[in-house]
Amino acid sequence: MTSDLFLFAGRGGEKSAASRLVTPAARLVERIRAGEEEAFGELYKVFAPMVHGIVLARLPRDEVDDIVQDVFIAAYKNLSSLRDDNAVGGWLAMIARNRATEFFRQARQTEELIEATDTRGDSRSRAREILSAIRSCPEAYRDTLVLRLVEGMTGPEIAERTGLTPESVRVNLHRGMRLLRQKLGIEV
Amino acid sequence: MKEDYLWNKTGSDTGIEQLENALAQFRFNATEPPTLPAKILALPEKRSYGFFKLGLVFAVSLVVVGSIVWMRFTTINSSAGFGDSAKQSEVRDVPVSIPAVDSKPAIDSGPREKHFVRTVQPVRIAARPIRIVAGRSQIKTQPEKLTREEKYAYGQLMLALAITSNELKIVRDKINGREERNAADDRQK
Repeated sequence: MTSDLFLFAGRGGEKSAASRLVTPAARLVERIRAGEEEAFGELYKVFAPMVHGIVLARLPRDEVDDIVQDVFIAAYKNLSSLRDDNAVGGWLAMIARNRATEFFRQARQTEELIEATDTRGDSRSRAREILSAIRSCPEAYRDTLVLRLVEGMTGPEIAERTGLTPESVRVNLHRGMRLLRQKLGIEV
Repeated sequence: MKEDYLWNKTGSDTGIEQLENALAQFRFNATEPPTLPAKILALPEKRSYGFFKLGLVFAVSLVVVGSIVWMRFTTINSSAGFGDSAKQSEVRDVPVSIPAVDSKPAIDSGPREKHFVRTVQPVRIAARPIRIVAGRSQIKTQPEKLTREEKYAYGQLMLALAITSNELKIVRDKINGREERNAADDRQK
């Protein structure tokens, strides 16, 4: 009986310890809150490719770098609104999506012009073709495909950075890849 | 195995590798993190003048009400002192001698006791100088009695008041947005 009690206590203790698990990203956030600018640089290095991928999936390439910087500055300014430090990746992804939507609303007419004027080389045109095919996919597939094919992240890395579950990332990758192949006329 | 390459890059998939190579040019180039904005200093809160305004309004209204009450009070007093002197009275005790009631002949029994009867007698109150509040008709006729300099000053004052009221009207119209409407109407015309 007593052994059972200890067993339950042990389980409860493990569970509470798991709920209090702090990710390295959360530690970075804590350090930023404490005023360490170096921690902000580290956070940028970890999450900048993810933010870049999300923005690239939506906006013209020339604008992407500026928007990425804007996203991080906005994140720094609004760090107090982040409730769960462990969810900093998903939070950054959300800011990136919002900024991209905002930009697209303001400069809708110039987007196509930038894309249309850049016609140099076959490899570039092929790359643009693939990118535009990815951009035409649904949002869930678009982000995952860009992070996998452009930024070179693995599935688990995508899940870790974006805050999505590995299962949903796997599903998005497979379905998105199938759709992309159809769009590009590549036979599996 | 192909799916493993898509998931965690184990094994190989030529098709995906080709896509990766083609898209590698769009990959994020590690750059320096953005320069952080300067820390925003907490500005002192703007002073609220609400209480001051409220106090000012209260003081002005108090002055206005007080002056109205004072004016009314002085008017009533002056009118009371005008013709009511006859109505004012004073209670005095007047000595009277009462004849004896019994029919017996009066026997001198020394000095009689004096009886007093309370009577009411009118008292004349000295009339206070009457303050007549000038009516509108009197105000209109007032400038005729003014000297030349006073007339000039009066004219200047009226002019200043007219200018001030015009300015106030413009301000009020601006606040209400009438000026814009009028300008728009003029443009339409």
